[in-house]
Amino acid sequence: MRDKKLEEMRQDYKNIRIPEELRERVETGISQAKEETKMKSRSKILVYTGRVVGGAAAAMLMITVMANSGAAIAHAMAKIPVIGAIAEVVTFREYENSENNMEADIKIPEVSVKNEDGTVNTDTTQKINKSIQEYTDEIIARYEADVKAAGEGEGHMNVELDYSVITDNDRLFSIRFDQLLVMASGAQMVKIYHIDKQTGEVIHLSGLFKEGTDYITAVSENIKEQMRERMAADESLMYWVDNEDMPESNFESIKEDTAFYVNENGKLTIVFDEYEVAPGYMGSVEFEIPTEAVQDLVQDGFLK
Amino acid sequence: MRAEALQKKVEEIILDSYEAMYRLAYTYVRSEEDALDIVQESVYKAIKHSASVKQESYIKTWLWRIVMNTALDFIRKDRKEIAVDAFFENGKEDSYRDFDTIEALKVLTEKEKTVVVLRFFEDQKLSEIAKILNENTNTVKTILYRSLRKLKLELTEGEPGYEG
Repeated sequence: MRDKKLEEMRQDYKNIRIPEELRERVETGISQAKEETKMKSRSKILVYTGRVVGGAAAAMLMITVMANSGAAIAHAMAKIPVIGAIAEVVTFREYENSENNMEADIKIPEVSVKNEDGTVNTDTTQKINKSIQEYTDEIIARYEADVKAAGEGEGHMNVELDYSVITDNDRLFSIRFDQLLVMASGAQMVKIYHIDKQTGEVIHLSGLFKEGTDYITAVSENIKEQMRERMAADESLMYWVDNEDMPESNFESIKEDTAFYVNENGKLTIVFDEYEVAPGYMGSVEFEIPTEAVQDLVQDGFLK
Repeated sequence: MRAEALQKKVEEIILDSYEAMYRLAYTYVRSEEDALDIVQESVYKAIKHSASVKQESYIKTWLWRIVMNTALDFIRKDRKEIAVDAFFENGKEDSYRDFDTIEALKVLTEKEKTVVVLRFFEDQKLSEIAKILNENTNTVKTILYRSLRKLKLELTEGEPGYEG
């Protein structure tokens, strides 16, 4: 049945010469890793930086968040005294579960938003905590359903959710969730919540921009441009753009609630989940949008 | 305790299948030295993170994935040539001592290569490959057919007077 050419290739493949050195290199790899595992097992805090590579990164994502620290609140633009609302993480709950080779560790922060005069802004506080809870409930429910479906001995998954306050300046408070889902392989998903401190409201990407402006096209076109530039500069990079082979998976445009954050330089940064706009080996990818590209569309105070 | 047992199991499977890991790595980089580096790095990663494998039966699949990712990272870092679809034109400048049928794989993208190698040379099931690539089975099937189409083209065009 099998094609003759394919059979030839298979033979050639099987005949790829194995260097004598291989065994030795394999053993070196094994002993290197063992040495390091021994050393590392003493300290429980590993700080994860960089890209998730397959399932391997699962063990690395163990950032310990200090309870109730509210993260390091840095008022970056110290020249103006903080006006408007104050938002902080006041506490967190943790959902931990382990059964049938399946494990979950989900941290659920509670956010408090205060008005300028120090009173609690109940409306926004409830709203953001409710949507955080809906989000985490969904993850927990999916995990519990998987545990149930797996029954005896079929489990093979690990879900971790952690959060961090990534922006807290005069105008914006943002809290980012990183979900790591490990099955045979890993997938990285990001969710970020934002509070506009001027209005005290929970906002999505659309909330950064003036009403009625077409920021979606401006940002999307800029991203496509960056994809093309990056691919032209380095041919090993790959994004789903202008791909005639699989036009259905090409990136078309961002959405009103596409994940974003404002980075330390005050630039809008769009975040895509792993596999969303690029092949898996590219990991979760981000694009910093030059402020000039959206200068006329954005509201004051968000970007620099 | 469990972590140690798991690490041991991963080690066993590595020692059992490192030649296959090497061949896959070699298919991507076509260089003994680079392939050796990739295998060593993959083995290191696998042992180091063996605790993250949740089930024994997944170890093999997981190893394939590590080798694939390590090789792709390696290619990216070293800015080595990566086979993209527009690679056909490259055929003329290569000259090989013997016509090597595996050379034909260079018309494929990395992902297509992975699918062909794992399906036809390593006899993995489509569903396993789907897990390795984190794609659904239908997508893998599509990639496989597309790859075969491309390969056929290369093999028939390439055969007579390939070097000239």
